[in-house]
Amino acid sequence: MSAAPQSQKPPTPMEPRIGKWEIINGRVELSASRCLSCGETFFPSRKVCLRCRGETMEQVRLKGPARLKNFTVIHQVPAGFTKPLVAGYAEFEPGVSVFAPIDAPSTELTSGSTLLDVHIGPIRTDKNGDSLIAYKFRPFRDADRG
Amino acid sequence: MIRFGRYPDRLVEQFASDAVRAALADSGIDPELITIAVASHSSQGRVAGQRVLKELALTGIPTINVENACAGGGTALHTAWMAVAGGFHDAALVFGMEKMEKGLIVGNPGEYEAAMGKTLPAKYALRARSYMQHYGATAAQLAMVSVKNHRAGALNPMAHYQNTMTLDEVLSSRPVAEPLTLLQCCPTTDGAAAVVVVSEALARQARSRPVRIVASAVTSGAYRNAGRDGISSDDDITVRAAAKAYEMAAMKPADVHVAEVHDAFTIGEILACENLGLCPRGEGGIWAEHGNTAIGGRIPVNPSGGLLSRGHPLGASGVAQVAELTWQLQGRCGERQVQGARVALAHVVGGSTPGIGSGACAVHILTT
Repeated sequence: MSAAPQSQKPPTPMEPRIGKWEIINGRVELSASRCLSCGETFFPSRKVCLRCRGETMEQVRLKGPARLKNFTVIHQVPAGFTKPLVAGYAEFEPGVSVFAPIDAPSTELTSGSTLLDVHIGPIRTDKNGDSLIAYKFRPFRDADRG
Repeated sequence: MIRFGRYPDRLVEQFASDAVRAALADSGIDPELITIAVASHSSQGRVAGQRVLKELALTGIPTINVENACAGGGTALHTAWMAVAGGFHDAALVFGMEKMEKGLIVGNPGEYEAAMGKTLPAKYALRARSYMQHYGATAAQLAMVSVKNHRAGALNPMAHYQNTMTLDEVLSSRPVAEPLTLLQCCPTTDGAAAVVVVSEALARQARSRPVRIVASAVTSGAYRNAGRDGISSDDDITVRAAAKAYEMAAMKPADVHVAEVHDAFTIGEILACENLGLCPRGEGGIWAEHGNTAIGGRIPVNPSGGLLSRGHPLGASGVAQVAELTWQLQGRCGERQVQGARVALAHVVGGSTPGIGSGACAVHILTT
């Protein structure tokens, strides 16, 4: 069986459509916004608060470890994704959750307790077969922190 | 309505005009009296409503095309109800139609969750996992919804799938998004349905015994922080629509004799029953398992077979529910008839957007 032809093109980041991130001291931080009127935090960032319609938002950063809130294993995946796709919500602070693919077998995950870290990796391919990268989750291991 | 199914060789204009013709004939209302039409569809192209009505030479009247994802049919009925109840029109035509693409419904590209792989089955799978974890519901209880609805659909000549299936067949079908298996997801179905909405004065001219719309409510998704607000956006949208509808009808959930609810996925029916107050919170799975929501049970839900068995042509489903409930209230449903049904409730909910959850929900209450 021959390997699929590999694209020579460097992977394309999917931001800003899906939200922005930065890598600070080797760690991925997601860019969110917090409403200065009511304190609600949103990812991806937005200009108007969905809770109170406040328009003064400050930029905040979400970083791991985050707690796995809920996940599923998707067997019928959208075009460009590899199946099965483990994906779910991680809670970064109370009430602030982000959805992303999880690089781990479902057997290693427990909703409500597994701690996850954020990293950047391939999410899917575009219609030309080129790789698109973005934030993903993986189990958090203190040892990885170095 | 027409029998739902797959119509690869028919144009949407052809089969939707058949549904409109059938509704007009059944109502006995003179087409000349129709002064407005509301057409629901999600992806049938520009002015699809006018294209359908052209087939019947019903041209020139104001025709409004409604897109509200899976809740489009209910939204179209609400629009027509406003036109007639508000006194602007005496007779309105409502129809919903869809010729579906096979496979997954493609998510909106601007929404980050869809871009990151969250499909509609995955959305309901996540709701199922969270529900199961919270209330201890089982995979078998979820699957029973599909067994029940296919049993009902087997008695409905308008249903796409008219075959029964066992619990084991449902559970062992291929996984789509865990814990949902293929037979717990609505099929890809083409179809169209239509109803005629008229003023009380005109209703006296109807051929078949008309039913009364005593409540019509549409809500949109709103931001909720489940942790703090105690309810998710996806549940809240139905709770708000139901509260509005019950208030309008001066009724309570216990007054409802039969319901058609949004069962695009098995968990959807369980959550809908709870959000509509048809069964206690956390007991939807148990109610399905014990047959409380089957025909002959305490509150029969989806006697048509629901979206799972009748099929789910997006824009048509909400109208098809109302066609079914009209026939139920008229006592015309044969073997699937809910005995003594005098109050009926229809519920559809659709769309998925991060931050506001489901986009649209419609609840209607009908009486004899």
